Amino acid sequence: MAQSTILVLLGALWLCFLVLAAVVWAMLRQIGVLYERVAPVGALMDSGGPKVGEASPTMRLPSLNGGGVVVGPGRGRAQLLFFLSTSCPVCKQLLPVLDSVRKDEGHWLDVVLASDGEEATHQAFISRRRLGDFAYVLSTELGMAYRVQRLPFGVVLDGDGVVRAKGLINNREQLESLFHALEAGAASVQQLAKQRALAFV
Amino acid sequence: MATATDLLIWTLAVFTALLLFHAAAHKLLDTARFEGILWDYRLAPELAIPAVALLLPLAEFAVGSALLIPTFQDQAFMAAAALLALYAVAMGVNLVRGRSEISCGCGGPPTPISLALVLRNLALCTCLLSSAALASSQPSWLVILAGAAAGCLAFVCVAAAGQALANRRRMVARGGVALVSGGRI
Repeated sequence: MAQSTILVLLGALWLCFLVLAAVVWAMLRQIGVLYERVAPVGALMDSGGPKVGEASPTMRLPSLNGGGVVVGPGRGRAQLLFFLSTSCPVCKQLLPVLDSVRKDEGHWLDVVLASDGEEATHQAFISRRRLGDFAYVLSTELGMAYRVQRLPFGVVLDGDGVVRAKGLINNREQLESLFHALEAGAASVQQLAKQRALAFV
Repeated sequence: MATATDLLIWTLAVFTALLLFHAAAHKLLDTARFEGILWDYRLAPELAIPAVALLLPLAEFAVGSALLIPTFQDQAFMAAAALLALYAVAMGVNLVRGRSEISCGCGGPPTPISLALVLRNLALCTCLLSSAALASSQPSWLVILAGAAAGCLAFVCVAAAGQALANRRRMVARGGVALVSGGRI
């Protein structure tokens, strides 16, 4: 057989090998994506603090960006309390998401960033991350009231100051799950799953 | 003999180049995420993190490209070995600190840092350094082509294996049946 024929056949064999390997990789990636889709995406609830359905404690706190913030009943507008720290990477990752939530949902929802610690550190954080348009409160009491243990932590209050959803937030989906909980009336995705458990069995 | 050596060298060069391109693409496509990962390593000061997050993938891209150019190949092997050694040290420091839960930032599915990853990097480092030490002749284009194909195949297999391991971790995390160990966790 001519040498060129052997070369062409060899090339074709390599090509088949590569395509097969790529297909295997693509399939494994698809399995990974599937895992992400079916994973419990809702915000995980920690125990402690006001339960879902209970009224939030009322607090009047000064905002670092000027003005004051009232947390709790009697506001007439829904509120998202987002607990963060200047040194938490996931918090920083979620800041752009919070910014779009504040802009897009501003007609019914107030976003409040909450933390504690030194004011100077937080002022530097605000100017570096351009958070001047957020209500930004420093209050150890607020964090204690909600028993915030892990960050970033989100709490959604309805217009009457009743806690509608809360939990640890690691990504956009988990943040959105808090709003879905407000709309659906289920405290967490885990609870929603329990309600619908029979349908899935 | 020389042909076999050249074939191995080109396989390694293309494999490493793809590894670096893959890692660089992941870092550049999600800068915010990579900054978070870098922050988790607690090695660079916070102010330097955005710069490092940009420089590392650019360096990976440059070294990966140089590996494919015969003139720069020897230096590129050394540079790639240095990059991988740097990552191995960064992971090692955090393992010693007991912070083994952080993500490695290697590209691909989320993978926590581990001793296995450090050893993988060091093994690859050794291969790269010994390739740099070998005098590279002028191989025929056929050898280069075969090496490139083998390198691509090796990269795809490694990437697929990494994905399979990540899937297994997810399965274990969900309390399901782990396929690889064959038992219920």
